[in-house]
Amino acid sequence: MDYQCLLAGRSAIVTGGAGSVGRAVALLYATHGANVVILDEDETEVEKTVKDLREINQKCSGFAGNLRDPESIAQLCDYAINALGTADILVNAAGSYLPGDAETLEEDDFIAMLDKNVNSTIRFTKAIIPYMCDNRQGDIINITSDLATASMPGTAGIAACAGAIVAFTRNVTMDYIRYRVRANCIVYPFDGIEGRRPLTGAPGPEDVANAALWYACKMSRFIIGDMLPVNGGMDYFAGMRGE
Amino acid sequence: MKYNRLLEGKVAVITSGAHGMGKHVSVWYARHGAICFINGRDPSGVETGEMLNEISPGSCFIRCDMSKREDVESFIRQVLERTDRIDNITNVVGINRSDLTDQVDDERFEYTQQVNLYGIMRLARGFWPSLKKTRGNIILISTIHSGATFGKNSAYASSKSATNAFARALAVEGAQYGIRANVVCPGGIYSSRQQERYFELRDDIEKLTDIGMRGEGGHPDYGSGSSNDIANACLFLASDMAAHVTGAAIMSDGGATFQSHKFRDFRTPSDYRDLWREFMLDRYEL
Repeated sequence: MDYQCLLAGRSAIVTGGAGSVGRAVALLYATHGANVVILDEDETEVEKTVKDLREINQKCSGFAGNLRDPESIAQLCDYAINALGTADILVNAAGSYLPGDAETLEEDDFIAMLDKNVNSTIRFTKAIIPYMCDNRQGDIINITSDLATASMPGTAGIAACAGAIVAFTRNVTMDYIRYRVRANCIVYPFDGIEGRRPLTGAPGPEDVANAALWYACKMSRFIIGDMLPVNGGMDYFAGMRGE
Repeated sequence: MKYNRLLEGKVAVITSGAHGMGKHVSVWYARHGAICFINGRDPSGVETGEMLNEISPGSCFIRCDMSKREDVESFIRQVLERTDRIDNITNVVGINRSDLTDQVDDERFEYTQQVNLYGIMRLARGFWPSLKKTRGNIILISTIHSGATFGKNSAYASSKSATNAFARALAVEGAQYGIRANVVCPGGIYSSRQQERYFELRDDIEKLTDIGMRGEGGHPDYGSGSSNDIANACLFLASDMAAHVTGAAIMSDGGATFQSHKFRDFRTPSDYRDLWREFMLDRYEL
């Protein structure tokens, strides 16, 4: 295995690829030899990231569209498949976070979060998975919040979304591993939420990108339906911090 | 980050690193630039030590019985005489001396705990000051039996659950020094003998099925893993790729533990046996 070029010649689609984490993933994938297409909402941001990607690999491209709309997502997937020819890797990094507890969370905010986080993950997976099945190989990486496993006040919506994505990931693996399509997810502190974290300092986008690289390549080929927390051990304190 | 030299300039200690899974881990580390100190009960480990020394000069084998306190302490001394830094401890050693519940033998139960749990506790204690200096990390090889298990496994499962808890405690305690601690939980991993057998029968799908190809009822991945898979998981955790991963337990089990209900003949592609075969061959490529 060439560890310097772990994704040589593979085709990767990164949703939310113009955001901080998605962008880091796309750039690292390109460095490792992948042809990358990023899909995101803001056209200017997409163009900026594509420019940087093309400095690494000319075959990279990006498209902008509404990630809350099923038709727009289907269109984006068509663009991506046209550009790449096929799809070997799908990274669902698109997401948004709006605060609120069960009482104060606005209906519109909750629906928006469901659309951006959960529905987009399911819709992109649904559109791309037939290509992976035809190829008899594929790697899906879903990136979401670590509120899937431990909680903090005022984050009801995103916690529910994250939990849904983790469960969905396991189920995709269950259904498609027979076609050698793996799915794993990465959870990390969303939007720079500060919390009790044993390792000093918050993880950066590049830490999540390295985990996404590991899940996309053969290094992790026996690991399926798993969830990797990239959060400096945030969940492991019981109660107050000891000496 | 240099991805083909992930452990350049690092020094690693691998218990039971002379044979099987431990050998794979140490070869992987050495190829990525780490000096490896491996131990084991069997003096034949010297051969692996010499091989590692050729890949990464300075590496060597030191004889040590991980169930004995004096042996472990002497091992720590000998390592620290040879190096002034330790960046990683990977604890591969593990045995299973379990009995049925009404027949548990005290000595066998205790021996299992000594090797699987006390060994790494003593190593972590001895190397802790060195790890503090290098902001190093610890990797414990546990098992899927730390979570789900089957019968006649009490000594093993309890020692490995304790291993996971021990790693979490190390993660919390070590954080202020930048020390990370993680667990890899392997599922079904082919031994080298099973692997040989597999290659003997590679073209005879029917026979392969008979000798243990797992069906849809067992393992969604249709097969077992190899020591390479575990070595790659350890490599990831040992390197800066996992700089913010601590206290984690990675289930490297081909999905054995996340199933809930049994299922059979459920939308199986017509070529799945061939796929499975390719998948297995691919897995053993070095």
